[in-house]
This record gives sequence, C-alpha cells and structure tokens, in this order.
Amino acid sequence: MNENKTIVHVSDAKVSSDPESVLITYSLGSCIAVCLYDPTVHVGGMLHYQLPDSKTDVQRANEKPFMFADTGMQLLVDKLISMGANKKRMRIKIAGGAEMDTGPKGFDIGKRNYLAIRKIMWKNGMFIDGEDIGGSSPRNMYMKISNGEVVIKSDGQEKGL
Amino acid sequence: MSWNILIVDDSSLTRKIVKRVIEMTEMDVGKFMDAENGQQALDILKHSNVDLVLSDLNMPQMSGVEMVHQMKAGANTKSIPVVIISTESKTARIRELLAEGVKDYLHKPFTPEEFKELIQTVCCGAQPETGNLSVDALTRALETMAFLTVMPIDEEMVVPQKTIISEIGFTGDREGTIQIAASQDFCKILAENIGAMDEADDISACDALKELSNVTCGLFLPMIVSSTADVFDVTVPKSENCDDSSQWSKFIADKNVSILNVEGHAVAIKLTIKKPEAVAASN
Repeated sequence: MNENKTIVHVSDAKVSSDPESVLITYSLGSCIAVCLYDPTVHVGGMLHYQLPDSKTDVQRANEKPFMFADTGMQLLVDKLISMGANKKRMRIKIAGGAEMDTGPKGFDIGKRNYLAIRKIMWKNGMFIDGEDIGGSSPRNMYMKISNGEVVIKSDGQEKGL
Repeated sequence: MSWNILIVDDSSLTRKIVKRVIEMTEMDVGKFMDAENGQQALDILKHSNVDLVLSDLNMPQMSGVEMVHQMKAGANTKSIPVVIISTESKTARIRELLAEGVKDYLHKPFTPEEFKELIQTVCCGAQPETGNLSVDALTRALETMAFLTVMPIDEEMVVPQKTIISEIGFTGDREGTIQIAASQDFCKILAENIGAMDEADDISACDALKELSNVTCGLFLPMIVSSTADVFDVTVPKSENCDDSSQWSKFIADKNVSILNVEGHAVAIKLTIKKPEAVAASN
C-alpha cells in the first residue's frame, strides 16, 4: 500500500480521513504530540504543541493556537468532530514531555506539558489510552489513519502505543 | 445489567470525582447513591438495591473498615462487592480487608485511567480484555513449562487434523471454563518438552494438554481478580480426542476463541465466563 506521509510540524496539527495517510511528527523533546483517532469512522488527527497554557501569551495563542496544549486541543477536537468523529469513541495516545538538556533548567516544561494534557483530558471526560512520556531522548511519532496504529521511535528503538 | 453504585466518602468532592470517572467509563449505571460515612452507607444498604460499593476508609462516625465488617456479617450485604478507595495502599489493614473479601482497592491519588481499569476488572465489563489475559496466561504457561514460544500468526502454521481438546472449569468470584485445542502431534511435543522424554505416546499427549490447561488456568485466575486466587475452585481437567479435522474448525468458529502460533503449530484457547447476572442468579 502506498503511504501518504503528512508531516506535523512543531506548533501545528493535521487531520486526515485518508486510509493511506500516515501522520508523522519528528523531534519531540519537551513538546508533546497527541494522536486522536475514532476507530468507527477512521478519522484521526495529530497535534504537536510546545507549551502548556495559552494564557501565558494570548497574542501568540491567537496567531499560533497549535503552539499551546489548551487552544490546540480545542481546535483539533472540534475539527475531528466536524469530520464525523465522536468524542466518546476517540482513542487518545500521547508522547513526548521529555526533560531535554537544551531547555532552560528548572523550568520542567516537559512535565508541565504532560500535566496540561492530563488536565485537558480530564476536563473533556476522555481517557488517555496510551502514553510514552518523560525520559531525556527525543521521539518521533507515527499514526496510521487506516487503523489508528501509533508507533514511537526513539533511540533507534520502535514501539507501538 | 445496569449497576446501582453506592459511593461512600466524607468528601463531597471525592464523591463527585468518583462519579465523574464512572460516567466517563460508560459503565451501565442504574443509580448513583452516596453516603458520608459507614453508618449512612449501611442505612442505605438496608433499604436499597446496591450492586457495588466504592468506599473511603477514614471517615467520621463509622470508618470504612467497620462498615466492611458489618457488611460481611449481614446476610443481605455480605456478597455485595466493595472496593476501597483510600490514601492507604499496601498496609496491613488493606491486606486484612482483601482477605475479608473486599474486592479491590485503589490508591489515592489515582489517574482516571487507573480507575477505569479497576472498574472494568471489578464489573467484568472487560470481556475482550480477559480474552487477552487468557492468551497471556497460556503464553506464559507454554514458555515456562514447555519452553515453547508464541510467534506471530502466519499462513504456514500447521492446523490440527487429529485434535485434542482439554477443558478446565473454575467457580468462585467468576465462573467459567478454559478450553485448549491442539493437534495430537503438538501435544506430543508438549509432553516431550514437559516431561523431558524422548518420544511421547498418545496418553502422555492428552495428559500434557490437560496439564497445560491446568497451569494456564492457575496463571489466568489471579489476573482477573486482584485479591487472592484461592477464592476459586478449579475442576480436574479433562480431555477428548478426535480424529476428524472438523472438530478443530468447529472449535475455532466460536467468537471467544483466540488462535496462537506456537512455533509453527496452531493452538486455540477458548475462554467462557458466565455473565455476572447469571452468576448472581445462581448464588
């Protein structure tokens, strides 16, 4: 089968209902990527956000809503629902939130990003079905739209979520 | 079946959180009831039909421990499942409560996902997952006792002609059977590996499959109930032989069957668990 690769860049999100499509994001450090997938209608989306809370910079959030967990998730969930997905059916998998040496020390941005998505999920009444979080290595994340399968590659290792 | 659930906690916020997570699980809930302490809970239990109690331990007036003691002493309340939700975890007190028949416990703080898992285990709503657990148990049994590994399914694996089916039953918190079907040739390999023998005969082949189902059941049962495995009674495994390949096809046609590729041989496991309402009715 031909795979139709779509790259999700930092502070961006992509959705798809094309069964040949694979959504990919690279170099997840302290950022978090969230995969949402509705297995009934085979619609999915991926968000790669950088920061936990849009309230810290409202102007930037207006320009780049996918930079933040809260504004990014809101848009992505709404978009998927408009494509026929149902919130109750959505499978949610997340990865990233690493503690990177490159970031400012003592800022714990990876952990704050993780706690932010947990809070958003709880508020939305949604469970996280799989996660690969923390550590200190960058990750790549892949999601097949045909079946919602999510794979994480990190340190030369590959694992399904 | 819809569940009537009694949430016992002196904090109204905790009661709200517990209710919310249950609603998120899409569990079929008939009615939520709540109580602020053990005494209130016992009063509710006297007058209402409750299927599950989720309770804190430290509460004013009557603690969760005392409530459990009284529930276990009451003819009408002793069989209602209780799950403890507490900041205590592996303390002697929790162990005592589990020994007394408390179904499970959840350590506070808990994530919504941990709560979901608990609810699915307790309420037997996770039938497909217990299917995986039986496969996990069989895989472990094969690896440990017969040094055989389970591989991804492929088209080249050998499907039984002469089939042996073994069956073992269990009764207790849940009632059901585990059946395993495999070819006679495979059962001979099994016997040779288990018994470290050079060449197995037909009788050993049957015995080996019976022993495999016995060990699989022993590994499976603790997975479905987190307290103790000895709340179950297990039957003596039995087996039947068939020379006709149709028996295999018939066996695997059931939807509760999982097929494994054990080093090139197809082996099937069928888990049948009686629905909770059927168990409750027969008790």
